[in-house]
Amino acid sequence: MKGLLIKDMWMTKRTLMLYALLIIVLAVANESAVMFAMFYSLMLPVNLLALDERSRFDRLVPMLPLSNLQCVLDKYLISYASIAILSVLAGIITAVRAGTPALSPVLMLGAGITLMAHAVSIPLLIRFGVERGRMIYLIVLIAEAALLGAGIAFLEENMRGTIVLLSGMVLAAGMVLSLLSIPVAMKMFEKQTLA
Amino acid sequence: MNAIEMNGICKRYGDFSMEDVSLTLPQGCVLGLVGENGAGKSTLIRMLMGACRPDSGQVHVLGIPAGRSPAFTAVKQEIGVVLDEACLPDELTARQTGRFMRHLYRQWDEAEFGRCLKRFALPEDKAIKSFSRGMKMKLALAAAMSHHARLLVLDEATSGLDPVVRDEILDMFNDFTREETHSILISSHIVSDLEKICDYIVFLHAGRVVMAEEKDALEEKYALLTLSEEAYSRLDRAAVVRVMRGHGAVHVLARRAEVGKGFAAQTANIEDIMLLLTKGEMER
Repeated sequence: MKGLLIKDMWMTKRTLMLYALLIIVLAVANESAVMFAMFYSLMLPVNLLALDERSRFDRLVPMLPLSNLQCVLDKYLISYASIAILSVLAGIITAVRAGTPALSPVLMLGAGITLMAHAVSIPLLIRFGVERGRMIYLIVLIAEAALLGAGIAFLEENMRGTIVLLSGMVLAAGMVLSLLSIPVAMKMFEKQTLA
Repeated sequence: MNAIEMNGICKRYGDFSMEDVSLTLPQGCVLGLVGENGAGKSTLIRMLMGACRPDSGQVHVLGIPAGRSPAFTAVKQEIGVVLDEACLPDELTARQTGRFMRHLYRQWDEAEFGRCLKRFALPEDKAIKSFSRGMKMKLALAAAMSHHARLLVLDEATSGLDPVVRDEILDMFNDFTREETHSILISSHIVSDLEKICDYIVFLHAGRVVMAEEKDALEEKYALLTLSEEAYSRLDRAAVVRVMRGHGAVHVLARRAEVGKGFAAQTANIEDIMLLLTKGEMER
Protein backbone atom coordinates (compact mmCIF):
# COMPACT_ATOMS: atom_id res chain seq x y z
CA MET A 1 0.00 0.00 0.00
CA LYS A 2 2.93 2.31 0.62
CA GLY A 3 3.58 2.14 -3.12
CA LEU A 4 0.04 3.25 -3.95
CA LEU A 5 0.20 6.06 -1.37
CA ILE A 6 3.45 7.30 -2.82
CA LYS A 7 1.97 7.15 -6.30
CA ASP A 8 -1.14 9.05 -5.21
CA MET A 9 0.89 11.68 -3.38
CA TRP A 10 2.91 12.34 -6.52
CA MET A 11 -0.23 12.47 -8.64
CA THR A 12 -1.95 14.99 -6.33
CA LYS A 13 1.08 17.03 -5.35
CA ARG A 14 0.40 19.82 -7.82
CA THR A 15 -3.33 19.85 -7.09
CA LEU A 16 -2.72 19.94 -3.33
CA MET A 17 -0.25 22.80 -3.61
CA LEU A 18 -2.63 24.88 -5.76
CA TYR A 19 -5.41 24.02 -3.42
CA ALA A 20 -3.36 25.04 -0.36
CA LEU A 21 -2.48 28.34 -2.05
CA LEU A 22 -6.13 28.98 -2.79
CA ILE A 23 -7.08 28.23 0.82
CA ILE A 24 -4.45 30.64 2.10
CA VAL A 25 -5.66 33.41 -0.18
CA LEU A 26 -9.30 32.83 0.69
CA ALA A 27 -8.62 32.46 4.39
CA VAL A 28 -6.88 35.83 4.43
CA ALA A 29 -9.90 37.35 2.71
CA ASN A 30 -12.73 35.37 4.24
CA GLU A 31 -13.29 32.88 7.11
CA SER A 32 -15.40 30.61 4.94
CA ALA A 33 -12.19 29.29 3.37
CA VAL A 34 -12.33 26.65 6.09
CA MET A 35 -15.59 25.35 4.70
CA PHE A 36 -14.28 25.51 1.16
CA ALA A 37 -11.33 23.33 2.20
CA MET A 38 -13.68 20.71 3.62
CA PHE A 39 -16.10 20.90 0.78
CA TYR A 40 -13.53 20.59 -1.94
CA SER A 41 -11.50 17.81 -0.31
CA LEU A 42 -14.00 15.32 -1.76
CA MET A 43 -12.53 16.12 -5.17
CA LEU A 44 -9.16 14.65 -4.22
CA PRO A 45 -10.10 10.96 -4.15
CA VAL A 46 -12.40 11.61 -7.12
CA ASN A 47 -9.50 13.11 -9.08
CA LEU A 48 -7.23 10.20 -8.14
CA LEU A 49 -9.80 7.64 -9.23
CA ALA A 50 -10.35 9.59 -12.46
CA LEU A 51 -6.61 9.70 -13.19
CA ASP A 52 -6.38 5.96 -12.55
CA GLU A 53 -9.26 5.37 -14.94
CA ARG A 54 -7.79 7.64 -17.59
CA SER A 55 -4.46 5.84 -17.60
CA ARG A 56 -6.27 2.48 -17.17
CA PHE A 57 -4.19 1.84 -14.06
CA ASP A 58 -7.42 0.57 -12.47
CA ARG A 59 -7.12 -2.48 -14.80
CA LEU A 60 -3.64 -3.24 -13.50
CA VAL A 61 -4.27 -2.72 -9.77
CA PRO A 62 -6.14 -6.05 -9.19
CA MET A 63 -3.18 -7.84 -10.79
CA LEU A 64 -0.59 -6.32 -8.45
CA PRO A 65 0.45 -8.03 -5.19
CA LEU A 66 -2.06 -6.02 -3.15
CA SER A 67 -4.97 -7.13 -1.00
CA ASN A 68 -8.45 -5.60 -1.41
CA LEU A 69 -7.82 -3.52 1.73
CA GLN A 70 -4.56 -2.16 0.36
CA CYS A 71 -6.21 -1.33 -2.96
CA VAL A 72 -8.85 0.91 -1.36
CA LEU A 73 -7.19 2.20 1.81
CA ASP A 74 -4.85 4.61 0.04
CA LYS A 75 -7.83 6.67 -1.18
CA TYR A 76 -9.11 6.98 2.39
CA LEU A 77 -5.73 7.87 3.80
CA ILE A 78 -5.23 10.53 1.14
CA SER A 79 -8.69 11.92 2.00
CA TYR A 80 -7.98 11.97 5.75
CA ALA A 81 -4.60 13.55 5.25
CA SER A 82 -5.94 16.22 2.93
CA ILE A 83 -8.87 17.06 5.24
CA ALA A 84 -6.51 17.26 8.22
CA ILE A 85 -3.74 19.26 6.55
CA LEU A 86 -5.96 21.73 4.77
CA SER A 87 -8.26 22.16 7.76
CA VAL A 88 -5.36 22.83 10.10
CA LEU A 89 -3.91 25.28 7.60
CA ALA A 90 -7.20 27.09 7.12
CA GLY A 91 -7.90 26.94 10.84
CA ILE A 92 -4.55 28.48 11.75
CA ILE A 93 -4.91 31.26 9.23
CA THR A 94 -8.47 31.98 10.36
CA ALA A 95 -7.41 31.93 14.02
CA VAL A 96 -4.56 34.35 13.37
CA ARG A 97 -6.80 36.60 11.32
CA ALA A 98 -9.94 36.63 13.41
CA GLY A 99 -8.60 35.76 16.84
CA THR A 100 -11.07 32.85 17.23
CA PRO A 101 -9.89 29.41 18.45
CA ALA A 102 -8.48 27.27 15.67
CA LEU A 103 -10.41 24.18 16.61
CA SER A 104 -13.79 25.85 16.19
CA PRO A 105 -17.15 24.04 16.28
CA VAL A 106 -17.65 25.07 12.68
CA LEU A 107 -14.41 23.31 11.75
CA MET A 108 -15.43 20.14 13.62
CA LEU A 109 -18.87 20.20 12.05
CA GLY A 110 -17.37 20.67 8.60
CA ALA A 111 -14.86 17.86 9.10
CA GLY A 112 -17.58 15.50 10.36
CA ILE A 113 -19.91 16.14 7.43
CA THR A 114 -17.02 15.90 4.96
CA LEU A 115 -15.96 12.56 6.40
CA MET A 116 -19.54 11.35 5.94
CA ALA A 117 -19.49 12.57 2.34
CA HIS A 118 -16.26 10.64 1.69
CA ALA A 119 -17.67 7.58 3.44
CA VAL A 120 -20.65 7.52 1.08
CA SER A 121 -18.86 8.51 -2.14
CA ILE A 122 -15.68 6.45 -2.17
CA PRO A 123 -17.27 2.97 -2.18
CA LEU A 124 -19.77 3.99 -4.85
CA LEU A 125 -17.10 5.56 -7.04
CA ILE A 126 -14.95 2.43 -6.71
CA ARG A 127 -17.92 0.30 -7.73
CA PHE A 128 -19.22 2.39 -10.62
CA GLY A 129 -16.14 4.36 -11.67
CA VAL A 130 -15.83 8.12 -11.92
CA GLU A 131 -17.49 8.43 -15.33
CA ARG A 132 -20.60 6.47 -14.41
CA GLY A 133 -20.50 7.71 -10.81
CA ARG A 134 -20.41 11.39 -11.77
CA MET A 135 -23.98 11.91 -10.65
CA ILE A 136 -23.21 10.25 -7.30
CA TYR A 137 -20.52 12.65 -6.26
CA LEU A 138 -22.42 15.66 -7.60
CA ILE A 139 -25.35 14.71 -5.39
CA VAL A 140 -23.00 14.12 -2.46
CA LEU A 141 -21.28 17.49 -3.04
CA ILE A 142 -24.62 19.31 -3.09
CA ALA A 143 -25.86 17.44 -0.02
CA GLU A 144 -22.59 18.15 1.77
CA ALA A 145 -22.83 21.87 1.01
CA ALA A 146 -26.47 22.00 2.08
CA LEU A 147 -25.80 20.12 5.33
CA LEU A 148 -22.81 22.29 6.13
CA GLY A 149 -24.71 25.49 5.54
CA ALA A 150 -27.84 24.36 7.39
CA GLY A 151 -25.81 22.85 10.19
CA ILE A 152 -23.81 26.00 10.81
CA ALA A 153 -26.91 28.19 10.76
CA PHE A 154 -28.80 25.85 13.11
CA LEU A 155 -25.98 25.58 15.61
CA GLU A 156 -25.32 29.28 15.68
CA GLU A 157 -28.98 30.13 16.24
CA ASN A 158 -30.12 27.40 18.58
CA MET A 159 -27.29 25.62 20.27
CA ARG A 160 -24.85 28.18 21.52
CA GLY A 161 -24.43 26.44 24.84
CA THR A 162 -23.80 22.97 23.45
CA ILE A 163 -22.36 23.92 20.10
CA VAL A 164 -18.94 22.44 20.81
CA LEU A 165 -20.40 19.17 22.11
CA LEU A 166 -22.72 18.72 19.15
CA SER A 167 -20.02 19.58 16.64
CA GLY A 168 -17.77 17.08 18.33
CA MET A 169 -20.49 14.43 18.05
CA VAL A 170 -20.88 15.10 14.34
CA LEU A 171 -17.11 14.77 13.92
CA ALA A 172 -17.10 11.49 15.86
CA ALA A 173 -20.02 10.18 13.79
CA GLY A 174 -18.15 11.10 10.63
CA MET A 175 -15.08 9.21 11.80
CA VAL A 176 -17.10 6.11 12.67
CA LEU A 177 -18.97 6.17 9.37
CA SER A 178 -15.71 6.60 7.51
CA LEU A 179 -14.20 3.56 9.22
CA LEU A 180 -17.33 1.53 8.48
CA SER A 181 -17.09 2.64 4.86
CA ILE A 182 -13.74 0.89 4.37
CA PRO A 183 -15.01 -2.72 4.39
CA VAL A 184 -17.87 -1.60 2.14
CA ALA A 185 -15.32 -0.14 -0.29
CA MET A 186 -13.37 -3.42 -0.17
CA LYS A 187 -16.52 -5.34 -1.09
CA MET A 188 -17.25 -2.89 -3.91
CA PHE A 189 -13.69 -3.27 -5.18
CA GLU A 190 -13.98 -7.05 -5.16
CA LYS A 191 -17.36 -6.91 -6.92
CA GLN A 192 -16.02 -4.53 -9.55
CA THR A 193 -12.85 -6.56 -10.03
CA LEU A 194 -14.29 -10.04 -10.18
CA ALA A 195 -17.34 -9.24 -12.30
CA MET B 1 4.45 -28.27 -10.34
CA ASN B 2 3.02 -26.61 -13.43
CA ALA B 3 3.28 -22.85 -13.70
CA ILE B 4 -0.35 -22.59 -14.79
CA GLU B 5 -3.24 -25.04 -14.67
CA MET B 6 -6.69 -24.17 -15.90
CA ASN B 7 -9.36 -26.85 -15.82
CA GLY B 8 -12.89 -26.67 -17.13
CA ILE B 9 -13.13 -22.89 -17.06
CA CYS B 10 -16.56 -21.50 -17.92
CA LYS B 11 -17.61 -17.86 -17.91
CA ARG B 12 -20.57 -15.94 -19.27
CA TYR B 13 -20.66 -12.22 -20.05
CA GLY B 14 -23.79 -11.18 -21.92
CA ASP B 15 -23.33 -12.54 -25.45
CA PHE B 16 -19.89 -14.00 -24.82
CA SER B 17 -19.35 -17.37 -23.21
CA MET B 18 -16.26 -19.34 -22.41
CA GLU B 19 -16.85 -23.07 -22.29
CA ASP B 20 -14.69 -25.77 -20.74
CA VAL B 21 -11.33 -24.09 -21.32
CA SER B 22 -8.40 -26.10 -20.03
CA LEU B 23 -4.73 -25.46 -20.50
CA THR B 24 -1.47 -26.26 -18.76
CA LEU B 25 1.83 -24.43 -18.83
CA PRO B 26 4.66 -26.64 -17.55
CA GLN B 27 7.40 -24.87 -15.62
CA GLY B 28 10.27 -23.67 -17.72
CA CYS B 29 8.16 -23.39 -20.87
CA VAL B 30 6.58 -20.71 -23.00
CA LEU B 31 2.93 -20.97 -23.99
CA GLY B 32 1.49 -18.85 -26.77
CA LEU B 33 -2.19 -18.00 -26.72
CA VAL B 34 -3.61 -17.25 -30.15
CA GLY B 35 -7.08 -16.23 -31.15
CA GLU B 36 -9.11 -13.64 -32.97
CA ASN B 37 -10.23 -10.43 -31.25
CA GLY B 38 -12.89 -11.30 -28.72
CA ALA B 39 -11.85 -14.95 -28.47
CA GLY B 40 -11.36 -14.64 -24.71
CA LYS B 41 -7.57 -14.30 -24.37
CA SER B 42 -7.67 -11.23 -22.13
CA THR B 43 -10.46 -12.75 -20.05
CA LEU B 44 -8.32 -15.83 -19.45
CA ILE B 45 -5.41 -13.66 -18.44
CA ARG B 46 -7.59 -11.70 -16.02
CA MET B 47 -8.66 -15.00 -14.46
CA LEU B 48 -5.03 -16.08 -14.15
CA MET B 49 -4.23 -12.90 -12.27
CA GLY B 50 -7.23 -13.10 -9.93
CA ALA B 51 -8.91 -10.12 -11.57
CA CYS B 52 -11.90 -12.08 -12.82
CA ARG B 53 -13.71 -15.03 -11.28
CA PRO B 54 -14.77 -17.93 -13.54
CA ASP B 55 -18.33 -19.20 -13.19
CA SER B 56 -16.91 -22.69 -12.83
CA GLY B 57 -13.61 -24.49 -13.12
CA GLN B 58 -10.29 -24.09 -11.39
CA VAL B 59 -7.30 -21.90 -11.98
CA HIS B 60 -3.97 -22.56 -10.29
CA VAL B 61 -0.94 -20.35 -10.76
CA LEU B 62 2.40 -21.46 -9.33
CA GLY B 63 0.46 -24.03 -7.32
CA ILE B 64 -1.96 -21.56 -5.69
CA PRO B 65 -5.65 -21.16 -6.59
CA ALA B 66 -6.13 -17.80 -8.31
CA GLY B 67 -8.36 -15.27 -6.60
CA ARG B 68 -8.23 -12.56 -3.93
CA SER B 69 -6.82 -14.71 -1.11
CA PRO B 70 -3.73 -13.67 0.89
CA ALA B 71 -1.87 -16.71 -0.51
CA PHE B 72 -2.49 -15.64 -4.09
CA THR B 73 -1.65 -12.01 -3.28
CA ALA B 74 1.72 -13.32 -2.04
CA VAL B 75 2.24 -15.40 -5.21
CA LYS B 76 1.71 -12.31 -7.36
CA GLN B 77 5.07 -11.12 -6.04
CA GLU B 78 6.53 -13.71 -8.41
CA ILE B 79 4.44 -12.84 -11.43
CA GLY B 80 5.28 -10.10 -13.89
CA VAL B 81 2.28 -8.93 -15.86
CA VAL B 82 2.04 -6.74 -18.93
CA LEU B 83 -1.36 -5.94 -20.42
CA ASP B 84 -2.27 -4.87 -23.93
CA GLU B 85 -1.96 -1.28 -22.79
CA ALA B 86 0.80 -0.29 -20.39
CA CYS B 87 -1.79 0.80 -17.77
CA LEU B 88 0.81 2.70 -15.77
CA PRO B 89 -0.10 6.02 -14.07
CA ASP B 90 0.73 8.42 -16.87
CA GLU B 91 1.28 11.45 -14.65
CA LEU B 92 4.41 9.75 -13.31
CA THR B 93 7.86 9.48 -14.84
CA ALA B 94 9.73 6.22 -15.42
CA ARG B 95 11.89 6.94 -12.37
CA GLN B 96 8.83 7.51 -10.18
CA THR B 97 7.25 4.33 -11.54
CA GLY B 98 10.33 2.41 -10.41
CA ARG B 99 10.14 4.01 -6.98
CA PHE B 100 6.55 3.09 -6.37
CA MET B 101 7.05 -0.43 -7.81
CA ARG B 102 9.88 -0.83 -5.28
CA HIS B 103 7.28 -0.63 -2.52
CA LEU B 104 4.97 -3.14 -4.21
CA TYR B 105 7.46 -5.92 -4.98
CA ARG B 106 9.71 -7.24 -2.20
CA GLN B 107 12.32 -8.40 -4.71
CA TRP B 108 12.32 -5.22 -6.77
CA ASP B 109 15.70 -4.81 -8.47
CA GLU B 110 16.39 -1.12 -8.96
CA ALA B 111 19.63 -1.83 -10.86
CA GLU B 112 17.88 -4.21 -13.28
CA PHE B 113 15.11 -1.65 -13.86
CA GLY B 114 17.74 0.99 -14.63
CA ARG B 115 19.45 -1.40 -17.06
CA CYS B 116 16.15 -2.08 -18.81
CA LEU B 117 15.43 1.64 -19.12
CA LYS B 118 18.85 2.19 -20.69
CA ARG B 119 18.47 -0.82 -22.97
CA PHE B 120 15.09 0.46 -24.18
CA ALA B 121 16.37 4.04 -24.38
CA LEU B 122 13.57 5.33 -22.18
CA PRO B 123 13.87 8.79 -20.60
CA GLU B 124 13.76 8.58 -16.81
CA ASP B 125 12.29 11.98 -16.03
CA LYS B 126 9.63 12.56 -18.66
CA ALA B 127 5.98 12.00 -17.82
CA ILE B 128 4.65 8.72 -19.17
CA LYS B 129 1.75 10.55 -20.83
CA SER B 130 4.25 12.01 -23.29
CA PHE B 131 5.51 8.53 -24.27
CA SER B 132 4.48 6.84 -27.49
CA ARG B 133 2.57 3.56 -27.25
CA GLY B 134 5.73 1.59 -27.90
CA MET B 135 7.62 3.44 -25.19
CA LYS B 136 4.84 2.78 -22.68
CA MET B 137 4.90 -0.93 -23.52
CA LYS B 138 8.69 -1.00 -23.09
CA LEU B 139 8.33 0.63 -19.68
CA ALA B 140 5.70 -1.92 -18.65
CA LEU B 141 8.00 -4.74 -19.79
CA ALA B 142 10.92 -3.21 -17.88
CA ALA B 143 8.80 -3.12 -14.72
CA ALA B 144 7.58 -6.72 -15.21
CA MET B 145 11.13 -8.00 -15.60
CA SER B 146 12.66 -6.13 -12.69
CA HIS B 147 11.37 -8.00 -9.66
CA HIS B 148 12.78 -11.52 -10.18
CA ALA B 149 9.48 -12.96 -11.33
CA ARG B 150 9.13 -16.68 -11.98
CA LEU B 151 6.22 -16.27 -14.35
CA LEU B 152 5.58 -13.62 -16.98
CA VAL B 153 2.00 -13.11 -18.15
CA LEU B 154 1.98 -10.99 -21.29
CA ASP B 155 -1.18 -9.84 -23.05
CA GLU B 156 -0.21 -8.46 -26.47
CA ALA B 157 2.90 -7.11 -24.79
CA THR B 158 4.91 -6.72 -28.02
CA SER B 159 2.25 -4.96 -30.03
CA GLY B 160 3.21 -1.41 -31.01
CA LEU B 161 6.92 -2.25 -30.88
CA ASP B 162 9.17 -2.02 -33.92
CA PRO B 163 10.76 -5.26 -35.21
CA VAL B 164 14.21 -4.40 -33.84
CA VAL B 165 12.94 -3.88 -30.30
CA ARG B 166 10.65 -6.91 -30.56
CA ASP B 167 13.62 -9.04 -31.53
CA GLU B 168 15.56 -7.74 -28.55
CA ILE B 169 12.66 -8.41 -26.21
CA LEU B 170 12.24 -11.93 -27.53
CA ASP B 171 15.92 -12.51 -26.74
CA MET B 172 15.22 -11.28 -23.22
CA PHE B 173 12.33 -13.73 -22.96
CA ASN B 174 14.59 -16.53 -24.16
CA ASP B 175 17.16 -15.61 -21.52
CA PHE B 176 14.38 -15.49 -18.94
CA THR B 177 13.27 -19.05 -19.62
CA ARG B 178 16.79 -20.45 -19.40
CA GLU B 179 16.01 -20.86 -15.71
CA GLU B 180 14.08 -24.11 -15.25
CA THR B 181 11.59 -22.48 -12.92
CA HIS B 182 10.81 -19.55 -15.21
CA SER B 183 7.79 -19.67 -17.49
CA ILE B 184 5.95 -17.34 -19.85
CA LEU B 185 2.38 -17.15 -21.04
CA ILE B 186 2.10 -14.77 -23.97
CA SER B 187 -0.93 -13.86 -26.02
CA SER B 188 -0.15 -12.21 -29.32
CA HIS B 189 -1.37 -11.57 -32.84
CA ILE B 190 2.24 -11.34 -34.04
CA VAL B 191 2.59 -15.01 -34.88
CA SER B 192 6.22 -14.64 -35.96
CA ASP B 193 7.03 -13.78 -32.33
CA LEU B 194 5.22 -16.87 -31.12
CA GLU B 195 6.98 -19.04 -33.65
CA LYS B 196 10.32 -17.83 -32.33
CA ILE B 197 9.87 -18.46 -28.64
CA CYS B 198 6.89 -20.69 -27.83
CA ASP B 199 7.02 -24.31 -26.77
CA TYR B 200 3.24 -24.70 -26.78
CA ILE B 201 0.47 -23.00 -28.72
CA VAL B 202 -3.15 -22.84 -27.64
CA PHE B 203 -5.70 -21.66 -30.18
CA LEU B 204 -8.75 -20.01 -28.72
CA HIS B 205 -11.87 -19.34 -30.79
CA ALA B 206 -15.14 -17.89 -29.48
CA GLY B 207 -14.31 -18.82 -25.89
CA ARG B 208 -13.24 -22.39 -26.64
CA VAL B 209 -9.90 -24.11 -27.02
CA VAL B 210 -9.92 -25.47 -30.54
CA MET B 211 -6.36 -26.76 -30.56
CA ALA B 212 -3.55 -27.11 -28.04
CA GLU B 213 -0.25 -28.51 -29.28
CA GLU B 214 3.49 -28.38 -28.89
CA LYS B 215 4.66 -25.79 -31.41
CA ASP B 216 7.20 -28.06 -33.03
CA ALA B 217 4.59 -30.77 -33.42
CA LEU B 218 2.30 -28.45 -35.41
CA GLU B 219 4.56 -28.71 -38.43
CA GLU B 220 4.79 -32.50 -38.15
CA LYS B 221 1.11 -33.11 -37.50
CA TYR B 222 -0.64 -30.60 -39.73
CA ALA B 223 -0.42 -29.53 -43.33
CA LEU B 224 -2.05 -26.95 -45.52
CA LEU B 225 -3.64 -28.07 -48.79
CA THR B 226 -4.93 -25.77 -51.48
CA LEU B 227 -7.10 -27.85 -53.82
CA SER B 228 -9.64 -27.67 -56.54
CA GLU B 229 -13.11 -29.02 -55.74
CA GLU B 230 -12.33 -32.10 -57.78
CA ALA B 231 -9.11 -32.78 -55.89
CA TYR B 232 -10.86 -32.13 -52.59
CA SER B 233 -13.48 -34.74 -53.43
CA ARG B 234 -10.65 -37.34 -53.58
CA LEU B 235 -9.23 -36.36 -50.18
CA ASP B 236 -9.84 -38.75 -47.30
CA ARG B 237 -12.25 -36.92 -44.98
CA ALA B 238 -10.46 -38.36 -41.96
CA ALA B 239 -7.60 -36.03 -42.83
CA VAL B 240 -9.68 -32.88 -42.71
CA VAL B 241 -9.49 -30.67 -39.61
CA ARG B 242 -11.02 -27.56 -41.18
CA VAL B 243 -11.99 -26.52 -44.68
CA MET B 244 -12.47 -23.04 -46.12
CA ARG B 245 -13.57 -22.15 -49.62
CA GLY B 246 -12.43 -18.93 -51.18
CA HIS B 247 -10.61 -17.38 -54.13
CA GLY B 248 -11.71 -20.26 -56.32
CA ALA B 249 -10.00 -22.92 -54.25
CA VAL B 250 -10.58 -25.17 -51.27
CA HIS B 251 -8.16 -24.53 -48.41
CA VAL B 252 -7.79 -27.45 -46.07
CA LEU B 253 -6.09 -27.80 -42.71
CA ALA B 254 -5.28 -31.48 -42.74
CA ARG B 255 -3.71 -34.11 -40.52
CA ARG B 256 -0.47 -34.80 -42.32
CA ALA B 257 -0.44 -38.51 -41.54
CA GLU B 258 -3.88 -39.02 -43.08
CA VAL B 259 -3.19 -37.14 -46.31
CA GLY B 260 -2.73 -39.69 -49.06
CA LYS B 261 -0.20 -39.62 -51.83
CA GLY B 262 -0.79 -37.28 -54.70
CA PHE B 263 -1.55 -34.19 -52.63
CA ALA B 264 0.94 -31.32 -52.32
CA ALA B 265 1.01 -30.71 -48.59
CA GLN B 266 2.47 -27.38 -47.53
CA THR B 267 3.73 -26.48 -44.08
CA ALA B 268 0.97 -24.95 -42.00
CA ASN B 269 2.29 -22.09 -39.88
CA ILE B 270 0.52 -20.65 -36.84
CA GLU B 271 -1.20 -17.95 -38.88
CA ASP B 272 -2.56 -20.46 -41.41
CA ILE B 273 -3.83 -22.69 -38.63
CA MET B 274 -5.43 -19.79 -36.79
CA LEU B 275 -7.15 -18.57 -39.94
CA LEU B 276 -8.59 -21.96 -40.77
CA LEU B 277 -9.58 -22.77 -37.21
CA THR B 278 -11.39 -19.43 -37.00
CA LYS B 279 -12.96 -19.08 -40.44
CA GLY B 280 -12.99 -22.65 -41.65
CA GLU B 281 -15.65 -25.26 -41.09
CA MET B 282 -15.47 -28.78 -39.83
CA GLU B 283 -16.23 -31.26 -42.54
CA ARG B 284 -19.42 -33.14 -41.77
